Amino acid sequence: MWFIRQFSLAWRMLADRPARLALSLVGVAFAVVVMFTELGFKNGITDSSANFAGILGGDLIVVHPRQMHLKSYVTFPGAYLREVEDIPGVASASIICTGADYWSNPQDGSRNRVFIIGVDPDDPMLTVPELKGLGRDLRGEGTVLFDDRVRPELGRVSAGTRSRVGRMPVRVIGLFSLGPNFAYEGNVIMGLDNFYQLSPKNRGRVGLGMLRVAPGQSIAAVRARINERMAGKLVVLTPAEVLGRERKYTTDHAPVGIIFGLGLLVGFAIGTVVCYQILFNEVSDHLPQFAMIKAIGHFPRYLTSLVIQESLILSLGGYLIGLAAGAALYGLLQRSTALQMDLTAPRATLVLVLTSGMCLLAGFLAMKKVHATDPADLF
Amino acid sequence: MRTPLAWFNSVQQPRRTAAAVGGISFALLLIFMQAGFLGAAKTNVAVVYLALDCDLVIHSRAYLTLYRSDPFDRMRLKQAAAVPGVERVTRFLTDSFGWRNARTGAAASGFMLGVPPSEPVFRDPSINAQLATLRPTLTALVDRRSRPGLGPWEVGGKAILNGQPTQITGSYQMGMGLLADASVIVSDETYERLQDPRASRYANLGLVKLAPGADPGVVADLLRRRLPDDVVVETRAGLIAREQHYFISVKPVGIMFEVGMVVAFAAGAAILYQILASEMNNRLGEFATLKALGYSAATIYGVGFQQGLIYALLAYGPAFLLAALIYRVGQALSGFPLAMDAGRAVFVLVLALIMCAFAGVLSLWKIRKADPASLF
Repeated sequence: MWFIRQFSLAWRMLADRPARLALSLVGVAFAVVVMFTELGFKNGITDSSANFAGILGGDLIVVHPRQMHLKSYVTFPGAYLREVEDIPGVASASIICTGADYWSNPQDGSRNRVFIIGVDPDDPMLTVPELKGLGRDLRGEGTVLFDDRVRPELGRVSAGTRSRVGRMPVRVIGLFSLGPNFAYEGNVIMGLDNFYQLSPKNRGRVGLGMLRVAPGQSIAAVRARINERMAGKLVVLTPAEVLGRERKYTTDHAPVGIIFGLGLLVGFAIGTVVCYQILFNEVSDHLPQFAMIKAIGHFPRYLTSLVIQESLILSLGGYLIGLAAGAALYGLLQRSTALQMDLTAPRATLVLVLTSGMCLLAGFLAMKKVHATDPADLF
Repeated sequence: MRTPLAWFNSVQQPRRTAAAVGGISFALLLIFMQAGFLGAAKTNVAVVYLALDCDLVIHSRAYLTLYRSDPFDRMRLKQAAAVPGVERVTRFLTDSFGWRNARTGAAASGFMLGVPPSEPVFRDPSINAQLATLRPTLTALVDRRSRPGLGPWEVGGKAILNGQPTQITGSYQMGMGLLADASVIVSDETYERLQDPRASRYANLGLVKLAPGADPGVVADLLRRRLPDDVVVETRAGLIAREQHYFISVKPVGIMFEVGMVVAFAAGAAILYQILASEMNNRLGEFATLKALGYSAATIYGVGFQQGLIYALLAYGPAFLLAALIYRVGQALSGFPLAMDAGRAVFVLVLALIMCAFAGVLSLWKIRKADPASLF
């Protein structure tokens, strides 16, 4: 009960000057927006760079031991995959081969670099819903699925559009959604026959061997068997591990993590200083009230929790405004860059924790003054 | 008013002033950071052109950026060399390459620049001096600012470029930053061996150096008229601007840096205003007293204006030092060419002064309505 009474006291002290409270909340909200922006950039780049890994299906994936990430184009001989298919517990295998080439804008002929995913039309093992209906049609000469999440520079594309990938004339038979990333402006899915025609040096090679484990078999056991038989030749990973590896590669190799990490840190520092400045003013202005609370016999702990409540009100209010502004900014960025800008619950929570952290830190800094008040001095 | 009231206001409560100045410093730091990122991204994408010594550049009509250039017939270079005003046309070859660590098997990708070893096309004389060491085939100069962990990556070592062991005969500093892990300079002959034997028939760029006194605009027009339209002639400065436009305004990551800059501006201005306004509000009673004493509104706003300037100047110093430090740390950690430059330093200073002075005056706006009588 005392907690709620105290909360209402904290609120009334802050709301004493509504104009100033509004200004303070906006100040905190801006620090929150800065943190959302920096975090969003970092996640946007990492998510987008790993977007291809996110559509890999199947139960297990085999790759060349030297393939550190999915854009390294390290392949292994098709014969290895046939050996894997014979291992007990492996129900089926499917080849994926990847490359990159230029997509010609069907309207103005300008070229942009796209990522090309060569799949087995009969059983692509990608989690792309459009492949369910259209997969078999990818056997046709020059047929492709085109990415509809790309920026307008790649042209207006719909089913039936004719264009070129590299020197190969292609016909778009359907669209799927993946989106651009740091390296490529978009994605194209084609059947393996078409892929090998476009990239003859890859004929008979496999980029990713997708495996489905027979029903009733343990994935771990099958994995151990493959590891044993193909040691040194292939590495076995689960789709989730490939995704994790891809994200880690971007985080480790692209300076984006460091750059936006620094930005996030500066946002946090700004927020702390702003909160401190707000609370310091607030405490200074209400010094007689604090002294009075002390004089009527409350313990110092009561004053401490009063200031903490004030800082939590500030952080929560600023956070809510900042969250709304941040969500709007993410939507705007997603539309203008076509990059993935996902505001997931864990990310929103992280910013909430950071916001509360910066306000609490500021609250503790401002508290010294409260405890130093001597009621006797005031009268 | 002879009393320096704005100054007295600023120093009366040093801790309070320090808190406010600290807040403004961080707002300025945020602007420094984002402006620094945007500037570094612009330097980064043009890093190769910035290192080249030429006046005009010839490239294919299908050219997208240096990193997505399209080869053209090297005959065009001979045709260009015959145009009056042209002193030298250098054939420039470029493509990405795959690199492999001989010991660990780790792989990375980089950028290969191929030039004739006899032609000093780089601005950095130390690179030009080392070009002679590239005469034997399968030799390379390596970029010291490449991502660490590439080893062997030093003079005397052998790097495996596109699967072929290549002798390292020298090194230079360029740094591809966000674009690639590494870069190497090789001779045109080595380039043909490592990349594509058909490269002997083409060029990716023609770097045109003008004769002393020749006008770039006039020669560029002459070249455009003389050369078939499968190639385009641009000035070096125009090409750098185009390259920056493509990466900063078209590519998604560049847009992020631009948006970051806008957010930094808005947040910086809002926080700065919040801080100064609450400072001024604390003294509203004093300002109303001045009004009651008969001082004109202009004088009172003048105090707010001065106080804004004082806070801006006090806040700028720490922001500048901290930004310079963070640039250095960021560059060391990420290889991104973050650096303080005079233009940006002045820009942020002017911005700080304008924003603070504006906020100082604006926050006294309600003085108009302040009734001195109601204050006591």
